Amino acid sequence: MGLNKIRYTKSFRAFMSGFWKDNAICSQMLGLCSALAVTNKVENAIAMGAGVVFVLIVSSFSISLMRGLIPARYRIIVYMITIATFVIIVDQYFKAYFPSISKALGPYLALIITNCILMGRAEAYAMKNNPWHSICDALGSGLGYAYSLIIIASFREVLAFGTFLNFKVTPAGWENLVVMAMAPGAFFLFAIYLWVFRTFSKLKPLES
Amino acid sequence: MKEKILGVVFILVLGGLSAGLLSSVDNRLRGKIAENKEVAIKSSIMAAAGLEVPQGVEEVKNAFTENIVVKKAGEYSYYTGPGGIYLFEMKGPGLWGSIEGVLALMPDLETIKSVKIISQEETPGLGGRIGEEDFLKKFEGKSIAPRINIVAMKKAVASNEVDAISGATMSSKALENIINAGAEAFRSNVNIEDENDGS
Repeated sequence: MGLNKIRYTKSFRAFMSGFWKDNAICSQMLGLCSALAVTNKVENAIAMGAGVVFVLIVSSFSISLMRGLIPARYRIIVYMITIATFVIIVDQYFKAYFPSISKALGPYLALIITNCILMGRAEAYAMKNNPWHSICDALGSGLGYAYSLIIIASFREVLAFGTFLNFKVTPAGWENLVVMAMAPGAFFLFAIYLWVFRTFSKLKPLES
Repeated sequence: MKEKILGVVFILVLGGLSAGLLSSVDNRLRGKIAENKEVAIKSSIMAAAGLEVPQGVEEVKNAFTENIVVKKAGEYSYYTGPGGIYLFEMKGPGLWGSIEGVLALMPDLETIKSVKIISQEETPGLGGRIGEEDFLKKFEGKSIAPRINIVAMKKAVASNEVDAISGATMSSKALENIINAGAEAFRSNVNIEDENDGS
């Protein structure tokens, strides 16, 4: 009975919507800029995903805690301050303890501040729900974003560099497809990923 | 009116909290970040000198003191390493952020021993590849007299030419300028010191 009961709890539904049907990348089309930019290598996608998951959880949690106090007219400024604070902390933490990953991601870690998923979840969910449900929602959305990045990155890294997580996986004589490391390759693979994902999740195109 | 004042007060309080949190994080991590930076520079200099870079913070610092001599020519500082090689740091603008690196020259001051990148913020996978060993190896044995040229389309033939990274012309060009400017600064400063030594 356990599983079936969990399926109908609010926290599970909050988690699942962002993780699957309302996936930030495939359904809401948010955070695409970073999804195209850092998906050239799997390690970059993992680090970026982890950064977004962390910032999303703590910012959703704190905004949900403050939701009774936040003046409605100034809520966007409040989101920005909260998100920026946590992103700077993550950026500094990576610089101090994981200097090599911080070096590889360059400016993108700090650019989580401009990732629309964070603002989107704060406005659409954390502002109206209690802290526990907000954490579930943030975790679902964050992981949904992270696995999309990792899937796209696995194809791009193999095709563009012949490696997976920096291990050589292609046979000798493999010619690297340089276009896959560049923006056009990201767009091609992203479109294919969207098509496959939306077919599997039975998402319909919006009626115009 | 009351709502406006309350809103401003709320944002000021939140801003104060945020600033407090950030400065305490900064206080705690600043030393560690500065140390990472120092180790990164020292590791790059040792790697450029062809020395093995040990693991660990203290090990890097000790090996650096043992093998590398820091020299000064007025404000300008450079290094000498085993075998009479000269090393200097170079820095300049890349496509997105600044690029910092180390250049090691053979005792003839014309042949490049090696180039290392300490930090760069170029596009990962494209310009970011200026930091990769495979690319930097192409500089070894090339001449910087009178200047190094990074040429596109795999046409490098002369002893002072290196192939650019395809898809990253801007970053390749930026690195070319940084190396030439760094070599220029080294030449003008170190010649001055040689004259001083002679007199």
